[in-house]
Amino acid sequence: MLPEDALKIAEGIRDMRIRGAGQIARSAVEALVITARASKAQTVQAFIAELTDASQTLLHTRPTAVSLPNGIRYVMHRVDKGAETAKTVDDLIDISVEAGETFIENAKTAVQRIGEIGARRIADGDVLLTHCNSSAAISVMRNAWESGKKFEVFVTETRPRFQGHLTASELRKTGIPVTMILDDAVRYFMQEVDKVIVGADAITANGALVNKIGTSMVALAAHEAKVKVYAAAETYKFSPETMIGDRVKIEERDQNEIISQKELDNIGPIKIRNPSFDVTPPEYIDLIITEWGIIPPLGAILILQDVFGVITAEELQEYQTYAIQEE
Amino acid sequence: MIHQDVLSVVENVRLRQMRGGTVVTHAALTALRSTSLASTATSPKDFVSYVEENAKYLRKIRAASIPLTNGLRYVVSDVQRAADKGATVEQLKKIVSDSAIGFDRKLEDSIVQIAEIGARRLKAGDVIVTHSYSSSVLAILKKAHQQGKRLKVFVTETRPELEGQDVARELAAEGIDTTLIIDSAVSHFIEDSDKVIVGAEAVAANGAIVNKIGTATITAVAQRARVRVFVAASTYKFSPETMFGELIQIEERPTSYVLDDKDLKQQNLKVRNPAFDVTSPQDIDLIITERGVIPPQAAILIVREQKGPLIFTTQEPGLERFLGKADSK
Repeated sequence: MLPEDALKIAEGIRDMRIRGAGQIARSAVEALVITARASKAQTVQAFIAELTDASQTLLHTRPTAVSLPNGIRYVMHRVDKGAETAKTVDDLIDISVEAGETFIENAKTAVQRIGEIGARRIADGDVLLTHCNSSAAISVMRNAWESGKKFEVFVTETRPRFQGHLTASELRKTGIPVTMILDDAVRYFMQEVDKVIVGADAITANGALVNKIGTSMVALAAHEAKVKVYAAAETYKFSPETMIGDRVKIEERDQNEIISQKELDNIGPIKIRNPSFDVTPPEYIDLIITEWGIIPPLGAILILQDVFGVITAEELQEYQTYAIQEE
Repeated sequence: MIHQDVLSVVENVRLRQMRGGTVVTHAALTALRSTSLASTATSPKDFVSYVEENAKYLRKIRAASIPLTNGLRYVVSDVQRAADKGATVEQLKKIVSDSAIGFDRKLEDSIVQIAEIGARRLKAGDVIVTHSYSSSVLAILKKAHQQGKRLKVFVTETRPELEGQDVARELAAEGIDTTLIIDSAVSHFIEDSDKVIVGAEAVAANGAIVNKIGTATITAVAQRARVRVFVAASTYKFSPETMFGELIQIEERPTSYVLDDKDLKQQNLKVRNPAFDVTSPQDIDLIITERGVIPPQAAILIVREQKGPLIFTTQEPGLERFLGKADSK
């Protein structure tokens, strides 16, 4: 059972009050830290069992956010290692808290680093286009604007939850000129656009981008118009499971995000499908901006090997421990 | 002088009380008919210019809607020809009335024939994607379903006016397996699909189509997934004006359809809301017309058969000679 503050975070992630992959990972790790601090476990085993339990609860709040399991893995990997030497539960609590805080700190600076690196790719007078709400993509634009470059941004509304409204509002607060358009109108305006910049929910081993539904159509329209496509992705968005052949699960969300139950009843016996993400193939992506620097999409495997190593059979076991357990 | 009936149709369309090119065309022709019957013109010459003036005004309802332009031109052309042959005002009034009703009927019949032809292209078990509201597309799907071909249809909701919900309602009422998705989800489901079928607001001389915003993206996605793209469009949607370089105007509709959030608008945010986009002929496999199936590159053949005169384009004497001889008898 999670402590109350941690439970609030879990609910926030599930209800999408906490949005954006970076924010989700940081919040989930924070919930784990809160749980560790509040633990009344008497033995090391009981403590680990408690944190493992909390990890499962948090993993289930958002089955497709790659950053979330990566964050939890980061902490739990260190907790498991620490258990080998830790003498008391308190020692292990310290290890958990420190691991969590390090992850959160790195995750925070990652977005700023990406902003600084990505901003160099933005030119004065550019017209940009973005889809959904990504703190990394916004960081790139904000850094570019604050360095004195003038540009404007097309923001898609991003059905069904209109995260584009949030993006528009954040960009406007920085002073960046924004034009809001329908998701359907991306191709119409693409001729006027110089660069597309989006965030990422996950990057796979072959450099494909898993992001908000509609991203692959935006990228296709850009590719056809010879407009550059940049994905801004922290390294914790890279999915190690894809190295061992797993596919990133595409979550389908509640049908009432698309249509109210009343309107649905009024229409008659139809089905609703509401996938939350889609997959953009690496051919449509020009580069990925990470906090370690810019890589071509096919360089994703390098990041994965650097961060998570070459996966051995034992490590595979470890990953599966913190993967979603299907009921 | 613009007649009251004409003004009220223009107002109704502006207020979005009518949808679909066919419906708008029907309303405009009905207004032109009642307007002409009420004319007080005493000479045939005055009567013809009165009809022309009202027709030009009606065309502005929706410049992108080619059946509207073609229908008005059809009537005006009949009246002009009869006046040249010395018809009286009373005879001309009857010609307007017959011509308007005649065009309306042809438009309706064309949908029946398109359904017949289009349904032959569908197989039992086909998974179809459609976008926006099209009478012709609905007719094809219903026809195929009645023939016992079990279909599965993905219908996009079609932001911002959500006419996809109306499509879903009509298909569900027919007993067709219907799934509503957001517009952005098309590429996710395209691998599971066999055919994309859309209608058209207009077909240009090069075989490009103008249709509801989002169509161009969907067809591009379909082409890359090797999914066939069919366009259902009667020959009345082919635009002769485009043969002479005129671009079909893409209207922008009220920004409040996209964003009604007052807080956000106060942040000095721009909103753009184009209603249509252009799908290039390379992304279309075939166009289903009431006269048969054609490749988009053959659109020019249909365009050339449209009746002149080109009353709605820049007046340039002699342009009509490039059109077919359908109006010479």
